Amino acid sequence: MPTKLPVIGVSRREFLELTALGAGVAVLPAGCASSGPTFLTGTERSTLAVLADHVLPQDKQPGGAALGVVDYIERLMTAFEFTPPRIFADGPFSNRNPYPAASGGVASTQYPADAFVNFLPLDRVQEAAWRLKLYGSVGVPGGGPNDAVLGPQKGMRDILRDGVAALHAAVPQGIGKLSSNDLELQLLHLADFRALMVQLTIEGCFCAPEYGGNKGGEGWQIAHFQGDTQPLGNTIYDPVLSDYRENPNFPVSTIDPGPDPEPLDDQTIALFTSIASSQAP
Amino acid sequence: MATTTTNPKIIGNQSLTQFDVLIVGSGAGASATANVLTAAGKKVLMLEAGVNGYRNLDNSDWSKVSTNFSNDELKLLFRNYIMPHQEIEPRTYRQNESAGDRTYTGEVNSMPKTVGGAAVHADVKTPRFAPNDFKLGTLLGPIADANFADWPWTYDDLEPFYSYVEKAIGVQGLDGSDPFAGPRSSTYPMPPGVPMYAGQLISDGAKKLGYHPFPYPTAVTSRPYKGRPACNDCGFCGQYGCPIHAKCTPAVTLLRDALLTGNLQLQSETRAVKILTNASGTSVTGIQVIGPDGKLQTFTADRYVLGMSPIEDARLCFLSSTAGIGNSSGMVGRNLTFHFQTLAAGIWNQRVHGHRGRTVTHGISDFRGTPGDPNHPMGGVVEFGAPDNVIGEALDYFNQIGLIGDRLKASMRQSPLRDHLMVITMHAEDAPQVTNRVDLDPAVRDLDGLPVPRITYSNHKFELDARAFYGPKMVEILQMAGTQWAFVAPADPISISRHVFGTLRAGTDSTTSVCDATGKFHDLDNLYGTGSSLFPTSSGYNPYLTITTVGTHVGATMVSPDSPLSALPAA
Ligand SMILES: Cc1cc2nc3c(=O)[nH]c(=O)nc-3n(C[C@H](O)[C@H](O)[C@H](O)COP(=O)(O)OP(=O)(O)OC[C@H]3O[C@@H](n4cnc5c(N)ncnc54)[C@H](O)[C@@H]3O)c2cc1C
Ligand code: SF4
Repeated sequence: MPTKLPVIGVSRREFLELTALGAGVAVLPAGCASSGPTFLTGTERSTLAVLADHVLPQDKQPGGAALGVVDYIERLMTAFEFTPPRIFADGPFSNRNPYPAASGGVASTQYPADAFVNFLPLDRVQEAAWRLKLYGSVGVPGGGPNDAVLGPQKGMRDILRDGVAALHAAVPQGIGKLSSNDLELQLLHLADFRALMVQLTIEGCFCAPEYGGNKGGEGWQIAHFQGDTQPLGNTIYDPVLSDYRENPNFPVSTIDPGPDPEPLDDQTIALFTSIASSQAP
Repeated sequence: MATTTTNPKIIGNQSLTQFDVLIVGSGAGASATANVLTAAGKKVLMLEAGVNGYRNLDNSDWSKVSTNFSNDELKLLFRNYIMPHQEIEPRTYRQNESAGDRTYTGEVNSMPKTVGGAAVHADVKTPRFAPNDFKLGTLLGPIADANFADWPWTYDDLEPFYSYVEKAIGVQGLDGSDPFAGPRSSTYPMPPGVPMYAGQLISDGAKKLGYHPFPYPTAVTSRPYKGRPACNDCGFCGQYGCPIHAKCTPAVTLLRDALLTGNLQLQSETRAVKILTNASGTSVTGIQVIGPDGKLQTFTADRYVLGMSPIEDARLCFLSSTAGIGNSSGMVGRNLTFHFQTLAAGIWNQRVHGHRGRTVTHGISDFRGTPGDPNHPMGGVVEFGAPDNVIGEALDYFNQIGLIGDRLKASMRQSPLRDHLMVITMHAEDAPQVTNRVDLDPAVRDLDGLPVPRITYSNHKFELDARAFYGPKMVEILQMAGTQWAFVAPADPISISRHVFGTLRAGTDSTTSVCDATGKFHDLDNLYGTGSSLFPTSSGYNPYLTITTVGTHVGATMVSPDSPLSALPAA
């Protein structure tokens, strides 16, 4: 059985600080283009920022826009303007966690270099797939392999561009003034755009910060989530003890220490009570 | 500043030009076969369609071996670093022939494509199959519309191979903890690692109901093992590659062992597209591939092994000949089985942090059942598993429940579907049916213009009955474990079990099976199947260990037909 000793040496608070430090990407106002190649216009950036906050609103903690969702989207849309394309971050480690010490079951003071800032070359298949996802059948030579049978595929860039344009046409006064409900009603007419925007917003809020979103690791903090944990992990095997030591702040085998930072509230309880009762026995 | 990191496409002994054996695929079955062949001095060429996620895998110094796999949810789960992309490599599905050409195009139990195969993504639980699993044809007798069959090997035949594989790759487990497991000639090489909190809660619940929970046998190091470190319970296990090589997956075990013999050359990003044969179709003369540059090339050897996993193995047989290579029995592509999964979700009022740890650390075999006993139908092992990480969690709130805005954010903070959730999964026996099969879609194509595999599949009453019987019992376990809510999730309309079997069924009768007891195609003198394609039945246990064991047996029989055991290298 594991030994529960307070020895790994990174506290919950230190961990979150480290997370924030390691992810030190400058936060740009959502309406400003990040440096480098751009796809989005200023108007599109502003619209997407409003939508990012619609999906994950700003409150005492950042919402989608402040978490960097627009930069995240910009980076993905312009992925192929870099060599290698910015699709798959390298590994194995970021620089957010130290190596374990050689003995004693504790963390060392040595951190790996952040490999997540490097991107991996795509192979022939990955490249074909990602070009089609981003540019659609019209944007790749010969189109998609099944356009004749299943219809052409629309690329993410066109879905975003056309979606923003359609919103502007429907709400000429600007979506910033709409209530959340009214905005949702508008979006329901644009199903593909809404689905893509929500997907990209969620990715941009909770991805590794090297992809341009989750600024300062604050998305993970909202979710009380450690983020990537390697190369330290949550337990350390101690060769002297011939057993494991767990991080008492992030235990694997026991309940979390301290009070629940945000217990289930009445609405969540009501929701899951209704979900559970609606499932077939 | 972004820099380019290029992993080599060709690894191992690059000077080899003549090969005794050519193996297509580099997953569990293929790597196990290659391990035995190369240890016996055979020169082997391995062709793998996917990318190489490792640097210096063929270096004998572990400190030089590194990987692209990381705790990166976006890359592995949402940008499909190694999962097939549905835009250009879809599969199609229909429930039965009367449903028309297809009813769905997209993801149908697709497997990761990469050096080392699907197990890279697995959390590699490694129970053995039980003795009964090898003789269900006899034990169950005829069942209408089902096609159960005995395996050409018994548990006793394979037991020494299981022992060898457990030691060679590294498996943790607790001897004697599963009363339903078969006899063992060896102890587990490593003890269980750190138990997950929620796994213990569910085990306690199961015990109160009289079941027999055990620490799940798992191919993950719990001690430094053969130069690899002990797992550190990083929490990014199932669906991720291991950044520290603690998962005992093919790439860092048997495949690497084979590379280090100097007898293996592995070419990645190289996709087999056609098996070439002599005019009478009795001998393979070469394998045509599309290489990393998109150009066609042909490779030859004396003998050939298909190790692409069941759906792609069958597809290649049909891409190579309209009637199907080796298909005098008409059974190529048929008897396709998946594990039929029943999932029960349990949500506690308190946080149970299932996302921290190895995904699964406990399970029970009580629901595997007894052949022919209606009071104890044949289900499968039940694993107590952790939910998704944060991106998956947030998408679940939106896609499954429709939450957006304030309630989405509140849910992320409170985390009912991650920090409070565990999902227990029964991998039930899926009755083999001749009509459940793989063939080629008549119109849908992949990026190279080749027909994609079409899966025709519907459930048999056999597994539906097991679900109806055990589903409520799974909920009881979760309730007894102290959950606030527990329910059976709706069945997936199309299986996503990632446990795929059959299509090149092994058997002694050439009219009802495709391959013989050595893995060789009945119809050809130098073509073999390996791993899960050969499985006559699915069993009710996670397959990785048995795929590796069968792959080892195939390799050993190729080396030493009369005494395969003698061909096993040192573990
Ligand atoms: C997320 C996940 C979790 C899992 N968890 C477990 C678990 O806990 N325990 C367990 O027992 N099992 C688990 N599995 C299943 C297990 O990983 C697989 O059953 C097993 O790895 C399959 O091995 P294989 O050799 O049959 O095929 P694969 O590993 O799929 O290998 C086939 C290889 O062939 C390659 N290939 C395909 N077509 C071609 C071609 N035309 N030319 C060249 N190469 C080709 C593929 O790219 C692939 O690398 C899991 C799977 C997944 C995805
Ligand atoms: S939990 Fe352990 S085996 Fe799994 S990926 Fe993390 S370190 Fe590797």
